[in-house]
Amino acid sequence: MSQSGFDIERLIEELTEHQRASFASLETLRNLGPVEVGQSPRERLFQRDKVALYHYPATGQPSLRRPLLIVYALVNRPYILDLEPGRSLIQRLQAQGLDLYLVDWGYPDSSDRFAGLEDYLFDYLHDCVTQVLQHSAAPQLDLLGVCQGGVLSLCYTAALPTQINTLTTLVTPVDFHTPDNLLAGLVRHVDIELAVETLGNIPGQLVSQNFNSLKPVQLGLQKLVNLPRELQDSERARSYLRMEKWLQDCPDQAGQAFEEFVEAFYQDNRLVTGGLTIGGREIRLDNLRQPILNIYGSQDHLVPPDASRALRTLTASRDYQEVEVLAGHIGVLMGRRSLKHLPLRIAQWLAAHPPAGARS
Amino acid sequence: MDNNAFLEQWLAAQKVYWEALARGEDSPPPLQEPLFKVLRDTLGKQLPDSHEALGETLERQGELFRQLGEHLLRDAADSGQTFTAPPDAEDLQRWFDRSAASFLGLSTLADTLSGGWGGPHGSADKPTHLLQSFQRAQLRYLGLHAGVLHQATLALQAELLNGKSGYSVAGLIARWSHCYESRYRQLLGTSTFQQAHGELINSWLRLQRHLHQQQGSQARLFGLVSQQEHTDLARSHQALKRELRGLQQQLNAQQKPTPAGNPGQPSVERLEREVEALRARLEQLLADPPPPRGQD
Repeated sequence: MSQSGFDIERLIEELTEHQRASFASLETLRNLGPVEVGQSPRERLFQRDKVALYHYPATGQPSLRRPLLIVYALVNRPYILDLEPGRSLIQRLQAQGLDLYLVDWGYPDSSDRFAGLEDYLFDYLHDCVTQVLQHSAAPQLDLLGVCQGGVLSLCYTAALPTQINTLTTLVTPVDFHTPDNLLAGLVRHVDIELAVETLGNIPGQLVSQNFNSLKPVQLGLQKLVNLPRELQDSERARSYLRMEKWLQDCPDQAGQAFEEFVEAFYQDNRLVTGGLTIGGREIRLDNLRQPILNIYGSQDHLVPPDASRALRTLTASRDYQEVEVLAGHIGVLMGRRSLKHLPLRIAQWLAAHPPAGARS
Repeated sequence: MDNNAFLEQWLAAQKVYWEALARGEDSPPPLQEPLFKVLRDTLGKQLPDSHEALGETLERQGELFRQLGEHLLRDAADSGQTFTAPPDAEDLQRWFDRSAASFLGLSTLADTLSGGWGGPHGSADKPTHLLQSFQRAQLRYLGLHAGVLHQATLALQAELLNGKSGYSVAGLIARWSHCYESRYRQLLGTSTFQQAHGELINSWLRLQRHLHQQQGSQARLFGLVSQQEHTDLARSHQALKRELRGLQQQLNAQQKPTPAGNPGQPSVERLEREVEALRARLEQLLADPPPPRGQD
């Protein structure tokens, strides 16, 4: 017969094993050197202010021989896409014959306090697009935007569509006011103008704390009691430490850009309601006519599926496809299941959408 | 004695102590200090700098886990059986509140913000109305969290009473986490909480702004550069960067060398790329004409 209380012998055994595992974890840490991230070979093509552009040449055959520019978010570091050998979206895409370029926004400091979305989009990103086209000698490129970088990619493509062949959005919010968008709910009543006026650049730690506050116990107590399980084995410990490094590595946010982003998207939901102007350019998603591949995670609590899927009805593209990945926000980017299938899916989709001039 | 041997010896003694606890005997623990504190005296110093903070976290969670286990064993003492009744949820809740608060992150925002200005007994320069406004917002915010804790306790109580299988300490924490977060998610979705969260941050920001203004006045008094002056400089810096960038773009357009080396004339290569891009765009537009404006 089953019982619903504690078996005291098993409880004592569990306590013993937990203490033993905690001790073993300390031993593992003692013998573990610093962990490295973003180890795939790459070449820096361009650097201006804090922004850098990297090239990761295709490693697999046949090569598509056209550039894919990855635009990552401002709020985290892009090495989550190349966290460790074997768990790297970048490596998997390279192996599919894709020639990759990556925008790294860097770490803004007080001199970037007044850098706005206008500067990120039509200065830095536009420069990166120009550099990629020059380096690859291609007339157009394919754009892949990740999370907040997806929003930036949507805005850029809507404003300056000529050089963009296709647009792939990965875990990208479009409708910020879906009922399950708890992150948007948290900032809805925050006076962002006052925050930036008071704090200048927004500390990355504050942004990170906001993300964590959506799952405080899972990411607090529960994660901690699972620590010994994560750290006993040295290889698993390395993976854990790499992820922790990434989670804690949140750059401060340039005040002006942060204010504009939160107000326009999180608070006013301008991609849906319209009336979005950046740097004097009107941004309308119904200007988007490129083929679009929209990839989202079915268990994403930061960017709920409906927030991403809203793109379907807002774009004027007649070649729009969605891919649902059974994963959360991070799992889509570097989960084993996602990495097994997604890079091939992206490569096949890109191969089926050559630049219009190359179609015959 | 090496660390492994010490650990095994301690675990054996600890097991005797835990068994005694479950029988309700009030025997002293084998070590007065936590195991990891003792081990860290030798082992901890050998951790690389990059892992030292994690080592301390490991130590704290190990202690937390042991304390919860011992709490449950003491609870079990009354039963005198090898199998205990389900633990009391309210009692557990008190334990979570008391011992695990630092890990829960439940009130961390309110705490962090309080810490940011030194609490109510800090500088006398704080205007009363701003301070009171922040404290009211803090009370309201914490009150909403308290409501979630209460609901989570009731849910945990129901789960424990209806449970059909035995528990582990880790399993109990997972159950509590589920009970708490499912109620917390509901709270996050309410406008009441969103307003309280916003007001907590906004009232703290107003207080911070006031302090910055005070510091700025003092800085000017001593002939130092104030934060406001830094901000004005940063604004001018960005404006100059934009202006410079515009000029560079104009210059680049004018000086782009042609194959014949004639500045001011676009290169054939660049023209080819532009023609190619325009052709692609034209084909896209022909294949998919834009809807007339005004149909939105």
